[in-house]
Amino acid sequence: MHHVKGVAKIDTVYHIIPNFKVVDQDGDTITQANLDGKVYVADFFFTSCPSICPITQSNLLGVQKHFKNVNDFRMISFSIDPRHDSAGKLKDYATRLGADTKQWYFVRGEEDQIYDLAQKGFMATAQKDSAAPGGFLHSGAFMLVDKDKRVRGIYNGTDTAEVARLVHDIPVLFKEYNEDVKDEAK
Amino acid sequence: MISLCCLKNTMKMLRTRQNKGLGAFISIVLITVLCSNCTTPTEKETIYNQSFDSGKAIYEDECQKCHGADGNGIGTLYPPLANSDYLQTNLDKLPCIIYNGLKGEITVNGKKYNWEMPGHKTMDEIQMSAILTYVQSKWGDKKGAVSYEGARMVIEKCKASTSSGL
Repeated sequence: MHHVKGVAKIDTVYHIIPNFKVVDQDGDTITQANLDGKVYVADFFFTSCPSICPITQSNLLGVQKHFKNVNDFRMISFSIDPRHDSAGKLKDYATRLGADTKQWYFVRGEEDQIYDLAQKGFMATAQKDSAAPGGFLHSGAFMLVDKDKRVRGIYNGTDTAEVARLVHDIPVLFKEYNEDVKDEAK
Repeated sequence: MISLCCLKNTMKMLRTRQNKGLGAFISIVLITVLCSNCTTPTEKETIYNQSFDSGKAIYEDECQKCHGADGNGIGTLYPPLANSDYLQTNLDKLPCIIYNGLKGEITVNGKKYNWEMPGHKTMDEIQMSAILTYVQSKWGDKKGAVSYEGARMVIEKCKASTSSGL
């Protein structure tokens, strides 16, 4: 609580992403330490997803093109189907998609940990659902996370206008850290 | 529709003519030339247009997310349909690829693709005729509506083969 001109205001308390430990497409361990000092975009997907993932991952590929040379920028796609998405499968997928995996990690972890992280960490929907296409229910949201591990924006990853808003917001967020980041695709 | 549009354009031309005498003469010539092409769409064209439009809607719902609105695909994950040598040479296999899906490596325009495509086994003959009409005429250089009867036959054929028939 703080006061502005004598009026009590409730502080905005940001939710902090809890720690996680996952494995990327090369079999390397990825934790929050790999994202220290980075602004990043996260999403949840699976490689055999027949519904929204082709759109979200293709849109993320577009996002990467805008910021591919930004040192402090990362992207992370968590597989919600770790039983089928081995590191090798993730690597194959990322390569075929044309993603630069130095900046964009495709990761897998324990099923329960991923669902927990999605729902309690990123406030995203990700769970098994035999009625959903491909057997998983997930939201297709992109989460923009700042250098202090706080979710600062949530965007519908299937909506071109929302993805454009994300591309616009990334340099704005970097500005808070006094970093000038240029949209390289402009 | 076409006749109306044709008449409207000609009237517009008439109105914009400054030189009334010469304008009227040119206009009469124009009406004769233009309106010789003014015909209402035949039943065949109407069926084709309807089938194409329904096919486009199915494509947007089912196919576009991977193959793209312009048919260009995504990377070497999902192959292109536009200017695709694979599609051109495998048009006869297209129905069963749509119905049963596709598994295994294929080469499209010199690039190797190997990512499973899901089947669409709930498609009925109306949907199948529409999607075939759309894809074949847009990217397969095969104009004309696919009949329900033809679609029913290919569905039966595809049901009999467990894979795409490749």
